[in-house]
Amino acid sequence: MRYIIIGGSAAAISAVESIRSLDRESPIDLFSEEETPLFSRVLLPYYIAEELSKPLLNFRTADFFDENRVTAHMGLKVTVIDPKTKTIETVDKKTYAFDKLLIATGGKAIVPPIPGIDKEGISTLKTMADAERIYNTKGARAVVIGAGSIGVEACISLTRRGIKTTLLEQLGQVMPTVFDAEAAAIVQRRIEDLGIEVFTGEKALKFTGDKRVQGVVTDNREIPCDMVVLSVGVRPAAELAVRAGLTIGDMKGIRIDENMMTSVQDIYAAGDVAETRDIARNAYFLNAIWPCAFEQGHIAGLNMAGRKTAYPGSYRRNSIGNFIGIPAISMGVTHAESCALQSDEDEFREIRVRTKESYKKLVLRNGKIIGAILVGQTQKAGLMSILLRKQVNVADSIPLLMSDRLSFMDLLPILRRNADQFSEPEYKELIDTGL
Amino acid sequence: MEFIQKKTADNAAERFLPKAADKGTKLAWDRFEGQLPECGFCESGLSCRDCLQGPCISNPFRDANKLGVCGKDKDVLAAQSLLKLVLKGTMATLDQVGDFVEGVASGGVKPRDKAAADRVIAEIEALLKDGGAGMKKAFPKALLAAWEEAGIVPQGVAKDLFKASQKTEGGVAGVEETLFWAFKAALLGAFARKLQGDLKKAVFGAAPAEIEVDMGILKKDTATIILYGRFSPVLKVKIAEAAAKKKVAVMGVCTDPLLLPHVFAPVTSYGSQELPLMTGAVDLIVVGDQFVNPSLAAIAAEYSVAVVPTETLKDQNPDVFAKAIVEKALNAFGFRRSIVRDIPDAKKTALMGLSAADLDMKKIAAALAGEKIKGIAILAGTNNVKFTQDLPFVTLAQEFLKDGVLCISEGDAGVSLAKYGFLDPGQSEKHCSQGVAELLKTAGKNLPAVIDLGLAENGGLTEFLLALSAAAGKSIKELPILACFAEANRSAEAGEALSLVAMGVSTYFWPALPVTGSPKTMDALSTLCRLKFGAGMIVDTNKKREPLAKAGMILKVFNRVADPAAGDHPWTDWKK
Amino acid sequence: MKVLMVDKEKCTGCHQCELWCGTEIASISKELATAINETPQPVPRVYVEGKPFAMQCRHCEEAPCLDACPNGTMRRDPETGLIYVNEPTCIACWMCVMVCPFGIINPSSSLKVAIKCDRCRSMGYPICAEVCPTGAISLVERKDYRKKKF
Repeated sequence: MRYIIIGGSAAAISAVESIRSLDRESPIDLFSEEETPLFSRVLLPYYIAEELSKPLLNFRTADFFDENRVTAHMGLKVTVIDPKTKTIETVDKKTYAFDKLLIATGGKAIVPPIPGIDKEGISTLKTMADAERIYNTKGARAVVIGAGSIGVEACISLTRRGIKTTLLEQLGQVMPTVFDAEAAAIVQRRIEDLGIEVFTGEKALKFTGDKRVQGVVTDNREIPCDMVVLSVGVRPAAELAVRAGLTIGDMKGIRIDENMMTSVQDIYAAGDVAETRDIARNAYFLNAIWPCAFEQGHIAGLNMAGRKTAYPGSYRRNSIGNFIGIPAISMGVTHAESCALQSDEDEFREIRVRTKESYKKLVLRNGKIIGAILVGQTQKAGLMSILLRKQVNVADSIPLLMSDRLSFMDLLPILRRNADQFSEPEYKELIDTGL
Repeated sequence: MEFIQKKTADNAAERFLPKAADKGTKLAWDRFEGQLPECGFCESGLSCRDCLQGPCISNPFRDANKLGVCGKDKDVLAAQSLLKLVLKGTMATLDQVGDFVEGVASGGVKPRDKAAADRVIAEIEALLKDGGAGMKKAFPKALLAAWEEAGIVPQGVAKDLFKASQKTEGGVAGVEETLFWAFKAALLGAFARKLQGDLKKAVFGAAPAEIEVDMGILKKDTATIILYGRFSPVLKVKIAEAAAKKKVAVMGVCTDPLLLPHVFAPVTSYGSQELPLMTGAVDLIVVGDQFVNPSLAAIAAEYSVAVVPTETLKDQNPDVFAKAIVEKALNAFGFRRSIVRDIPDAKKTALMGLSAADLDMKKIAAALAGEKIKGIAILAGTNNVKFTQDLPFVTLAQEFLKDGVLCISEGDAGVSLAKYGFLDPGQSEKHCSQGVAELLKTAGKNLPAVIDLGLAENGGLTEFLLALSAAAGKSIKELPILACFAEANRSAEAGEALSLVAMGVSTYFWPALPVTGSPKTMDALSTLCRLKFGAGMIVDTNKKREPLAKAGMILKVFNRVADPAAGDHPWTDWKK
Repeated sequence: MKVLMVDKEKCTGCHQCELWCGTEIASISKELATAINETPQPVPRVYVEGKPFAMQCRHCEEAPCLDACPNGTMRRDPETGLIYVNEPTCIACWMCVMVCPFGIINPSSSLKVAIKCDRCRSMGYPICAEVCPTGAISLVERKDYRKKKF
C-alpha cells in the first residue's frame, strides 16, 4: 500500500498518525509547499508578536517524520494529479505512484484586487514566508484589513511589538463569521482597549504610496501607514483537484463523502480544502478551522488505512483565548437567519443572557443546538459543542443549558434519551452510574 | 494518605502496641489512621454546622462556594470555629468547679478552713452570676484596664457563654469582635480555675507530694481501681477512704493526683490511657466524661475490667456510691485472679502539686532580672495522637533547660514529663544549665528540673504568674515567659491558651488552631492581641515541624534573636 | 486502560477530593494551610458540582482535545494512554476547552494555561481516590463497550 499525502499541516499530519495507528509498514510520501515543516499556522501571530520563536511554533517534534517513517518532500509543489494512472507529478517533473492519495492542500489567502496591492509592505498572513515577511518589515504604523480571527490576532500581535495598528473591516462588525453583533461589540471594545483603532463598515478602496505603501484610502478616510496585513479570507487551494476533474462544491472546496473520499475512488481530501457536510447548517460547507482539519485528517487516515469510519460532519468552531483579555468561544450558526436550508417547517430559537461580565447565546433549530456563543464564562463550552455535534433534542433543557451552574452530569438525562448517539465508553460509563 | 510516625516515646506504652496489634485490639492510633485524611475544611476552620441550612464550607479553591448559606465568610467561619472550641472548653471548666461546689456545699467533706471555703463558694457563685468583684481584685489594675478596653472582663455565664455563643447564631460581628467574645469566655474559665484552686486549698489544703508514677506502680496482687478523668473531688475522696479500709489500691489517669491526704498516682498520660487496662492489673475503672476515651469500655470488656461511670443522669450519694465501687472492685479482683498480669517495669518519682507558695518568687524574679535564666517556659496540655506521644514535651523541656530556660509544667504535661524523670528531685541536675540548676537549688525545697503546678483546675498557673509579677514589680507581659501547648487536644486547652494570651503570655499551640483558613483571624491573634495584651497566639501552619525545630523556634525568642514570625514582645530588645 | 470511576452510592459530595487536588497537585506550597491562601488561587482538576459526584478528565479513547490543540500541547502518554497538558507550550487558546464534552478543562486566565486532570501522572496513585473518605473514587478497568472489534 502506497500512501501519498499532499500537504503538511493539520489534516496531513493527523492523517499520518491515524494511518500509522493501523498500518506501520506501508510507505508514506508527503509533499508540502512549505519549506518549514510541522509548524502551526495558528501560532503565526505569536511569531509576529515576537512571543514565540520558530522552533516553538511546531505542533509535532522535529523527528515526527522519522518516527512515523514518512518520506517528507518539503518545499516541493505538486503540479498534477492523474486519477487514471494513479500518479502525481511534482514541479521538478518527477512522478510518484499511489494506492491511496490524500489532498490536504489547505487554503490560500485571498488577495483582494485593490489598486496598489502590489506595493511593498503589504502582505497576507498565511504561510511561514508571510509571517517572516511581516516580522521583518520595519514599520511604525500598520493597517490590518479584515477583522476575522487572523486579522484580530494580527493587529494585537503588531500592537504587542509596539506598532500602532488600525483594524479595518468591510462588514458592520468585527469577526462577522464568528460572532453576532452583541459579542462582536464586546470583542471590539476589548480590542480598542488595547490601543487599536477599529473601523467597521468601511472598505479599503486603494493603497497610496510609491514603491512602499504609505496609506490606505477607505470610503471615509485615508489612514497613513507603512505596512498592511491582508486578512480578508481564505479560499480552498483546490486547483489540483479541479484540473483532475474531481467534484467541486459550492464553496469551491473538494466535495467528499462521509468517509472523506472524493468523487474519485482512492482519492481522499481533508482540511481547509475539503467541503463536507456541516452539522449545524445541515448542508455542505467548508469550515477552515484547525480542529476541523485535524479531525478530518484523522478520519481520512483511518479510511485510507482500511478502517471504514464515518465522519459525522464538521461545524465551525472559534476560540479567542487570552488574546483580548476575555475568553470568547463561538460555534456553529450564530444567527438564525444565516443558516442555509431554511424550510418553512423549521423552528428557530435564539436564547441570550447578557450580564456585565459575560454573554451567552444558544441557537436552536427544531430543538437542537446549531450554534452557541460564550463570552467571559467559557469552561462549559464543550458541553454545547458535544450537544451540537450529536444533534440531540434539548428543547426542554434550555434553562439548564443557560445556567451558570451547568455541569456535565446534569446532561445525563439527555444522554440517556439518546443513548445510541452517545455510545462511546466515556459516556456509557457515566450513564451507567444511574445519576 | 500516609501517616508514618513513631506512635509514642513512652517505652512502657510502646510495649503494648504489638500486643494490641496481635490481639486485634484497636487503639487511638489505629482509629486515627482510619480517619485520614481528616476533613481539610474543618481543620482549617472553614466549615460550619451551626444550622440546618448547612453543613456549609468555604471552599478555598472554588469561587462559587466561598460563603455559607447565611453569608458567613471564611474569616468569620474561622473565628467562630475558635469561639466554639473556647465555649466548650469553658463549660468543661465550669462543670468541674460546679461539681466541687456541689460536693462541698452538700457537706460531703469537712473543709479544713470552713470560713474560707464558704467565702470562695460565694465568690464562685458571684462569678457565674455576674462576674463577681472578688476575682477582679486579684488582677493588677493595668491588666483589668486592658480587658475592660477590649470588653472582655468576665460577667458571668449569661454574658460570657450564652451571649458569646449567639455570635454563631447569626449577626454581623466581624473577626475581631468574635475573637474578643472568645477571650471573654476564656477569661471566665481562667477565673473559675483560680477560684477552684482557692476552694481546694480551703477544703483540702495544698502541698506538693513526692509520688511514683507510670505503669510500673500497678500491683500484681492487689485489687486496683483507676479513676479516669474529672469528676467530683468529694466522690474521689470517698472512694479513697473506702478503698483504704479494704486495702484496695486507687490510682488515676487524667485526674487530679493530689487531694491531700489522698494520692491518686498517675498511671500514664492521656495518649496511652487505654494501655493500663492491657496490663491485666486493673480490676475496676471509675470514669468521668472529660478526658475519658469511650473506647475504654470496649477494651475493659476484653480484660474483664468493671466500668463505673460517674456522670449519670440520676444522682448518687457519694458515700454509698464509693462503698459500692470498692465492693465491686473486690468482686472483680476475685473473678480476675487467673488473668495474666503484664506490668511493665516503668516507674519514676515525681514531685507534683507545687504552687507559688512553695517557691521563692523573689529569687525567680531576680534570676530573670539578672539574666541568670533567659526566661520561663510553661509546658501545658495533654497528648495528641497527631504527634509522637510525649516527644514534643520531652524535647522542649530538654532543650529549654539546657539553654537556661526555667520550665513550669501544668496539667497532663506534668504527668508526661514525670514519666521521663523531669519531675524527679533526684535527677534535677541532669538536664539543667548552670543558671537553672542554681535557681532550682535556691528557689524552693527539693525542686526537680521541671516545676509542676498541678492540673489546670488548681489555678496554679494564674497564681504563679500573678505572684511573679508582684515579686518582679513588672506586668506579666513584661516578663520573658512563653507558654507552649506542645501536643494539645482538648477544647479546654484552647480556652486556657487564650486566657494566657489575655494575661500577657505569648502562647504556642500545637496542633494549629482551626483558624488557618483565615489569614485575617491568624493576623488578629498575632498583631491585634499584641496590641491589646502585649502577647500573641502563635499559630504554626507547618505540620511537618519536628519537636527539635519547635524548640529551636521558641528558644530563638528566649535568646532575643529577632524572628519576624515571633513578633515583638515588651520584654524583647532584639539583638543579633 | 484504568479510569477513575465514582460510586454514586458512596459519594457524599464532601469536596475533599477538590480540596486535596487543589493542595497536593495544583498549589505551589503543597501544604493545606499555605495552599488555601495562595495567589493565584490553586485550580483543582476534579469537579464536584451540584451532584454527589466527582468528575475528572475521562482520558477519552478518541479525545477531541487532542485534535483541537493547535500546537501539540495536549498529548497522550504512549505508555499509560493518559492525556495531559504540556503546560510550558500552552498558548491559552482554549480550543481544547471548546471541544471537551465534559467541560473539565479549566481555561485559567490567571495561570494562562489549560488546566486538566492528568490522573496524577507524576504521583503513585490519583490523589482524589486516595483521600476520598468513603472510598467512592477508585481506579477501574474501562469496560469495552464495543460489540465487535476491527
